[in-house]
Amino acid sequence: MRAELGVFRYTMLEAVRKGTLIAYFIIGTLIILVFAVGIRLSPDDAVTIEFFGTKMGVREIQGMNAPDFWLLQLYSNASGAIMLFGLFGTAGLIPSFLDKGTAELFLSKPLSRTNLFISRFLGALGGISANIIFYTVGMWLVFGIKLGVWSWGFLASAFFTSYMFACFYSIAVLSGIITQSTGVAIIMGFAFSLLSGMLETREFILFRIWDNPVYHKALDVLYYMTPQLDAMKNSAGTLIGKLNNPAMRQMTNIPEQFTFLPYLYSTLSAGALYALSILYFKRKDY
Amino acid sequence: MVVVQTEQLSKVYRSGLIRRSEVTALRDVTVEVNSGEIFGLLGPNGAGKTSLVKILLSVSFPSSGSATVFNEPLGSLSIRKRSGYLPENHRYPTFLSGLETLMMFGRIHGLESRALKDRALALLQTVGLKDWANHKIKKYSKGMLQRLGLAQALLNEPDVLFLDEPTDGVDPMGRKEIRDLLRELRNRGTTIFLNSHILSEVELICDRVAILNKGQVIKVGTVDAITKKQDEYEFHLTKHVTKALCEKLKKILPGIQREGKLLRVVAKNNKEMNTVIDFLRAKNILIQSITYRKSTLEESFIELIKAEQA
Repeated sequence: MRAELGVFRYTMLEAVRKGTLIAYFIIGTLIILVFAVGIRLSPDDAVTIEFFGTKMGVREIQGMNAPDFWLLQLYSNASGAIMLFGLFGTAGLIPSFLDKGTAELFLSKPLSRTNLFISRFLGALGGISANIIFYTVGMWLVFGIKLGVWSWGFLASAFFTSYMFACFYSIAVLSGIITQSTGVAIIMGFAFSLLSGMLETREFILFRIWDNPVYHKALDVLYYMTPQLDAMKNSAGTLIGKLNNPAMRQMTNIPEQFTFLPYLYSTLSAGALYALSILYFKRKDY
Repeated sequence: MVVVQTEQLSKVYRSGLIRRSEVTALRDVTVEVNSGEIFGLLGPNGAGKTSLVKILLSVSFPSSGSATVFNEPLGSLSIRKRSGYLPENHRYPTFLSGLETLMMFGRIHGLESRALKDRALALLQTVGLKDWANHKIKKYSKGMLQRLGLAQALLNEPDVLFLDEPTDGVDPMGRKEIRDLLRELRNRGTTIFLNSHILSEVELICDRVAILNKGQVIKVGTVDAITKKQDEYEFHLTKHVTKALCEKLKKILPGIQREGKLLRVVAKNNKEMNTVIDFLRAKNILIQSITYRKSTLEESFIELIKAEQA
């Protein structure tokens, strides 16, 4: 276990020393500080939210408490950004330890390739999760202290966002381990994030491109065989605030209730991608 | 006791999905490395030296054949637990210092943190990098990186040490220090498996060597046995042989050469040898010793490779 912890620790350190995670930490801190300084309840009515003195909304927006609506927006926008920034920050961590001259050093150590892979993956995930937790807890405290809103759903979103990233990262990991190229891993991850969004709304766009049942079935299969990023994000969003307005719900694609189904499908598909990565890694000559 | 044993080990690298190509790196390699010896693996570039070490440490996998290290089959974690490895062209994370690098690889080796720092500092001292312990390794020269690599390979006090071109880029003083260190390790019982193309160094420290060419072992033996010239002897005499005397000897046995008190003789059998001895004794020249004539390892290596190519 000591060896695995060593790899985990080294991976976190590598991610930090390369500067990307530090940059994310600084960005997260700045956002938290801006909200900590700028947001407050109006002293006039103790209901209206002010942001640097500008009245931003009242208690109710689209059938939802204004602070919840704000938190939902913060979560929704941040989770999308985290997927992409996380991809840039960690896509290189898998190919980098497979470089000639580095792979030999790791592979000749007394730990199995499976454990080496898992430790490396957890190290990369740990670096991103630490940022997600820092940002979420920071914003949760700001909204709690300044507005008196202690949203446990928003706090829980740190876990769901990290889990979503773990599923999303499977694409970059598989690409990175096969091609040993950071560039390809980033391109594949980015392409998948676009594809995932399109698959989520396939009934509205992709199905209309070609009215063919086989094509529609193929898109359905692809949707269920790959991590469902938007579905996971929207499901976790219901824990923060429920949109009572059906039109608004349809527009934002947020379901009425939290559901584990996208997490289950994504776990299975990401699990299969990770299993493939491990299988390839275990058999490859370095 | 045999530490490393390979049996008909072969490795074929395949690449290309559509246009398949194959490169045979090792072909039926059978070697044994005994406990406590320094074993040198020699060969021209692309002979398969690095492939063999990588297979022994499960960095690559054999295509056929078998091998054991400490009687454990390849892939066993206990092999890697008891081994140290300095790969060729190793690359360490440049954002770490020398000490941090050793600490990090020590942890990955499963070593305890408390003892690890002392061990790392002691090794940095041994390889002459103590003053550079806290400098980022991106500032290290090639030779310093080699020394750091050696320290890394020694972190777990290995029973067998695999070194791939350990003195590559190291200055002459550093090379001597590394040779001394390897001798000291051998004296303490460590088995050393050395890949090198610097034959003069191999000659100085290796107990046995194997010569590999195009993936095949073409010769295995002690350095003495490999460098020994068949039918060629050196007579060490008490006084100089004059030119005239040498000419007379050449009439009896052509191919005789003199060099001060040394006489080089090519004798195919005992009769020819005794003819020379009788001649010298008749001239009252005392013979101090007769030894086989030896070439340098480099000469023997080149001869063997040329013979193989022919």
